[in-house]
Amino acid sequence: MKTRRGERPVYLGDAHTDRLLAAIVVLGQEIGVLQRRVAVLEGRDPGEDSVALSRVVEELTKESR
Amino acid sequence: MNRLADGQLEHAVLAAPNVGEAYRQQEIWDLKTRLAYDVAARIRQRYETEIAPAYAREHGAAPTSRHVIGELMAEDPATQMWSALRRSGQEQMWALVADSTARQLSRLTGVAGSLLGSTGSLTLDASVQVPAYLQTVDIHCMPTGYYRETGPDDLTAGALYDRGVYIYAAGQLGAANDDKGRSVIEHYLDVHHPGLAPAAILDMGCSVGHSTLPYAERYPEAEVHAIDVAAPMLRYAHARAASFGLPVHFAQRDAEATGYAAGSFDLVVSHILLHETSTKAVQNILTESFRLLKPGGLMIHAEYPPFTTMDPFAQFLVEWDTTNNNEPFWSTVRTLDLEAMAARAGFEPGQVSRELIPTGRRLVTGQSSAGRIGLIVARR
Repeated sequence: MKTRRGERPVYLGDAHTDRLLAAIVVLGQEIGVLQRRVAVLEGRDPGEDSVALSRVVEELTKESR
Repeated sequence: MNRLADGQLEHAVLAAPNVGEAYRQQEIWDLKTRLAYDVAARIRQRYETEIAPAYAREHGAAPTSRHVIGELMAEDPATQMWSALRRSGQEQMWALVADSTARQLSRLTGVAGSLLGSTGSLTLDASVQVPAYLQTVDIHCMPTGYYRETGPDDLTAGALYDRGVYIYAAGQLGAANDDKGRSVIEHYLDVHHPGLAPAAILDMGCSVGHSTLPYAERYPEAEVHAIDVAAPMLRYAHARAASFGLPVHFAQRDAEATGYAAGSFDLVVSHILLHETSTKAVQNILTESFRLLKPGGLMIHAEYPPFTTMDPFAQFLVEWDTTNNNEPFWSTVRTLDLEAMAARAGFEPGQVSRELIPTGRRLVTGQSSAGRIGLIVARR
């Protein structure tokens, strides 16, 4: 990790990989939003099956288990 | 007052999300919570069962320094991924709140303007210099920084801070984000000074007044003043307080040199202000607090607990914010001898104490411990 004062640190080797990760998180988040909207349309609790981002995080942090 | 679906108390200038924004903000809330507690606990377990034992085999004992732990964990892929996700989650949280705020900014600015003169007061002073410690980085990765203005009468930074902090803390600061002020009152003042009846109270570094308002509620006879260097925070703070019907006098002043007459206040407080400043500023703030107090008056500065109250791995996790969340003074403040500094500020050493009280906000330590906040307390 590079941590220079005031600059964005680099975590995964280079800034491009960090940006790719951020994009994956955004995608997971947007799928979660869609899942919430579908749940509402189906008359269910919108948080009930919003699991996309959780699954992304679990996959990405497998090594911590 | 109504509450949003996630529990935050609504008021006239809250940048309340629409349905899509609320879902996105909830996704980030869930992400941040999972990383801060579930994944952090797994990283601690990995450290305790694999990394620390490996270090101990080589060096004869597990690390006792957060700096050594930091060097070890910097090489750990799981920690790298955790850090990358936390930083990304923080940036995306602000981006989502910024989008929602921008959509409503014109309305919020109009509401704030209409509340001027309704209750309390707002006094801005463009000659107040924003201290270097607030200009060095965009604190908490907030896109506006703590103080920047995007136009006349701008309150964007305040709106971002109010909504963003609620998500950031996953609601741990309470429906009105006022846990710090409430904690000081309920767990210190009401316990140790139950008969306190201050005539004048000053809250330093008040930002949007989250912690100020509990004082206005608890001591309705007092004249409550709150200061900050950031005009957008103060505009928002006044409108928010007015929306709750609480009379607070907000003013753009620097806590290091407020300009108030000596002996103006019975109670001088701040809440998680010190870690946003510098060692020199902390000394100046303590000295200014002493000057502002009437004889017998009370100073209370609330700040997250010192490193001495945590084990080395918790120290490492807490220190994460220093470089990864643009909090340059976050670690150093935890090492200061605040009692000695208060004595240098003029307080009699026997009148100075440090306390640790319960609070709702839990720091990321990889443990399931309750939230605590430290106080430096002194009576003039």
